[in-house]
Amino acid sequence: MNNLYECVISIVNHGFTDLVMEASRGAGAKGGTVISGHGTSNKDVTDFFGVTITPEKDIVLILVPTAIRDKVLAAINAGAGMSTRGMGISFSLPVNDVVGLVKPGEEPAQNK
Amino acid sequence: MSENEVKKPFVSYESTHRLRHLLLVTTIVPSGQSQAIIELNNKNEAAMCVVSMGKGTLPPELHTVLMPTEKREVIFSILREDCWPAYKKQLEERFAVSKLSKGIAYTIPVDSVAGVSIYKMLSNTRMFEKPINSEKKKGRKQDE
Repeated sequence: MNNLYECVISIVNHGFTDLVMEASRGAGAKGGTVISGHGTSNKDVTDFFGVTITPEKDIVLILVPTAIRDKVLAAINAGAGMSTRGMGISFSLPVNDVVGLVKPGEEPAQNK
Repeated sequence: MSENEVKKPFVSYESTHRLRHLLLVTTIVPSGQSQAIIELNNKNEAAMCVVSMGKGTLPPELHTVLMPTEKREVIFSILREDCWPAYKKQLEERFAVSKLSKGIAYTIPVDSVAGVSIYKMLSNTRMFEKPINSEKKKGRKQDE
């Protein structure tokens, strides 16, 4: 499949999205969007203490050209991977089509 | 099941019906714009929309140029592939209206779904859609 773009998704601990963005910008990505979520893996801890502990997570969506996808993923893994405080996992999904991106060399349309 | 009952051979849905590819459409717009995008989705036969609050990660000096606000809304929707071109055109028109209505959208192909009923729901396929074979038989009868 020949996709021009890929959507890189990073799931990191809450508050560590800066690590992801710094790493991905260093690898050539432009910007991203952060949405909030919470983890589900430590049910035992919740039961033991009798209080609800929900590990807050941030999900970073970054649209990158396919050509730099591997570089971005490697940079995120190094900067915000499991060995860092961000404890992030990253993966990419193929993107068929994109609307609203300003392509390199094109000027953004002048809006009213 | 009683012993007398004859078990029908399993016939997969995709062998008797034409499948339409599904897309997970992610639309990212400034805060407050999601309702209009949901209406666009509904107009283009999207089965479901999920809106999530988000925020941008652009450096502060770029906020005024590209997006006036850092707060964003992310709309995830499932759309049939044949509905995407019309939706894309409408989105392009909407994004060109003003700086406040700018945004991006992209599609991710859906590989599989959990069951025929879920597929029918997500693809907005009518429940009375007939199998391909019955249409062929009907065509043959008309030819005769």
